[in-house]
Amino acid sequence: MKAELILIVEDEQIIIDFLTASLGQYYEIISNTHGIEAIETIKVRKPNLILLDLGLPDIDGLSVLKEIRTFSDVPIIIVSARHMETEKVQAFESGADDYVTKPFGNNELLARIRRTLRSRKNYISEFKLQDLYINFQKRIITRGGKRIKLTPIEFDIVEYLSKNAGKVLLHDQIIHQIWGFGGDKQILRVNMANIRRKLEVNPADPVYILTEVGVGYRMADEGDFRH
Amino acid sequence: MRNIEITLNVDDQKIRKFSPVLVNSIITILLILLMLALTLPLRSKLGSQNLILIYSLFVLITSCVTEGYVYGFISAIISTLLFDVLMVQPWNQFVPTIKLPLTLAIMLAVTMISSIITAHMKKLTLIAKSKGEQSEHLYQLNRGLLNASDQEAIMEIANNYIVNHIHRSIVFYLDNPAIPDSGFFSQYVTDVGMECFDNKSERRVAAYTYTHQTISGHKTSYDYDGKIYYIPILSKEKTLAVLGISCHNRDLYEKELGFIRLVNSQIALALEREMFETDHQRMRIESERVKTRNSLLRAISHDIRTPLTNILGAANTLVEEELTLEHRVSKKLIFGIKDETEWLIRVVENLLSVSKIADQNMHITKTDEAAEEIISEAVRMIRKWYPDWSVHVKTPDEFIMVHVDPTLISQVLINLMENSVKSSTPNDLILVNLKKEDGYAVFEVSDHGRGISEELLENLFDAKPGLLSRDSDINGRAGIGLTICSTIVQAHGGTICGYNKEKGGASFVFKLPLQPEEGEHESGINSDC
Repeated sequence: MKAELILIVEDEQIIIDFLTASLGQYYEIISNTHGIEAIETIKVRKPNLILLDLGLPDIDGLSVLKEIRTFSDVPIIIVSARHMETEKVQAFESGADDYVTKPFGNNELLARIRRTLRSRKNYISEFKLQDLYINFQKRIITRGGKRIKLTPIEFDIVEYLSKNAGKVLLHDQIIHQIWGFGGDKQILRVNMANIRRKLEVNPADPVYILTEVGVGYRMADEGDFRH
Repeated sequence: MRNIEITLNVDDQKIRKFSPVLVNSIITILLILLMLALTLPLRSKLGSQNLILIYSLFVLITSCVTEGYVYGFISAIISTLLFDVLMVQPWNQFVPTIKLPLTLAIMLAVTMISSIITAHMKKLTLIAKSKGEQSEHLYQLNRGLLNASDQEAIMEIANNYIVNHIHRSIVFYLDNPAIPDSGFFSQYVTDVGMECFDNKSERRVAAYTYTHQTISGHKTSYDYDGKIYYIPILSKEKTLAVLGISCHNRDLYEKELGFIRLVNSQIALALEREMFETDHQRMRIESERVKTRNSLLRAISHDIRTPLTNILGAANTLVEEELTLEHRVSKKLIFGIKDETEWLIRVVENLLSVSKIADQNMHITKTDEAAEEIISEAVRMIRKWYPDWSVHVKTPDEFIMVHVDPTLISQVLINLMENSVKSSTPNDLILVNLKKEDGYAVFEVSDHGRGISEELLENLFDAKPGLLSRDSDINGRAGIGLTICSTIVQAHGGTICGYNKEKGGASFVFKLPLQPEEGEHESGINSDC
């Protein structure tokens, strides 16, 4: 089977070198150091996934991201040294699939790439993760075979998160999805706290629904249980 | 515009109940009646010289106990007429003889002169008395102003004092009157309310006084028809404040103006002193901050330099001795590089936290966050970095919301947990606990490791490069991490402390207020639990 094609858009040659070396074992790698070139490459080569650095020498990475989204929905993972939550939120809003902060470990990046590639193949009627089982048609959640009772709103949140397992969903995204324009972060937080108390074995130490502080929430996937 | 309630002087209100004209007239009439009561039964026995003396005496008394010349004067005329009618033969009828009018005219003159002299003396006494009172009041005003801790307190005292003395509504502007909320208004009972001061046109006149440092308003060249008189309060060519006085009821007397000028200079002094103190305070805080930042930077650069040396050394060895090195040794060197780099990453994270606080004058952007979410994210990080250690988390059933910068608090938890990792083995459990106590969210990180050394325990939260030796007990890296923890917690208005547990291991506790606080960057001293 032909390996998936990954485009690395990054101005640091050292990073391109070690990524090519480590990711090259699993994927076919091409790279660009400039944003404008990268957009051309995407149009011609149609990669399966893009690793995009936000700090590029010619144009801002966010603009590249927005530009790509005008013609393609290829999975994009942002790789950036910028650390502020607001920047993360901005990137997600502009259509990024995931966000990795520099410096990062190779294993972490590899896991994110796998997760992003996989989550694009979804259309699921049920969700399984460790002891957790969700059936979306019957609206049933069990953990270790035991039924968990959620309110309709709580179920909707869990459903939305698990259908996007592995992907960070922004607070606003979830609020908009569940309540339309009527919700706020406070209501979401209280609901999440309730869900944690019902869903998790130890609510103080959640393993299924993870928090990205200041950004949003993420349903864990198998990658989070592989240590 | 803020309203300051005035406490009126009690005796002030009493005097207002009786008009002075009424009181003085009654006194005069009573004295005349007393005089008649004394002399009428005796008019046949006493000689006319004695009677004249008694009459003069009563006129004298009248002018002594009443205010001004008028009552003495009236009393003299009435007495003279009464004397003619009642005391001169034939009694009870007015007989203008040639001799008597002359005598009586002289008596009138004598009475009038003595009355004028006593009235004059009385006026002098009154002036002396009021001068004494004035200096007593000024002394009290000064004492009050000296004790005033801030501008608002000064305004309260000044407003109270002035309104009580001139009986008018006034306003003080501590800043350009064009800025809303810069005014301190006080109303006198019988004078106009705030609405006559707090409007666009009056503010414009007041602002004129503020910027041009000259009087304006009522009967001045600027806004002659206005009903409020504005005076600037100046100090060294700077406008400290503007005082506006209502002239709705009556114009300002020269006496009142003199009084206001006197008070103004006192207020100017007080405001100046207060400003000086605020400046001094600000500079002290500023220099304290620079000091903290410098010691932090010193500690951090030490923390960066050491691992960088290690990395450079290992890399150089690998490059130069590539062929001669045993595989086992080179692998060890490479792992060393990896470890040191990971450590550097942590240092940079901490540096970012510090810059976040230092940049914004210790003011941080806070949002409402679920405490348990912050903890679980921090714990997830530690688990990722140190998969061999086990962290146990306990949070209450109750949902605790804190008003914080979540990444900074997460950084505190990460630093504390990392210290625990460094001072314990993977077999020792690390505990993270959250609870609610007396309006505080209390976070605790404890371990069963080696604990904190005596030496470090004394200055746990002060960055001292000397204490950062990398082999010290709790691990030298703790020093800098703890300083940052303490800085972050204090910036949130909380407290942090650390101690050794009786059964071994260290415990760090920090508390964050559950309600957002005012002026929180100043509160919070580190080591009280």
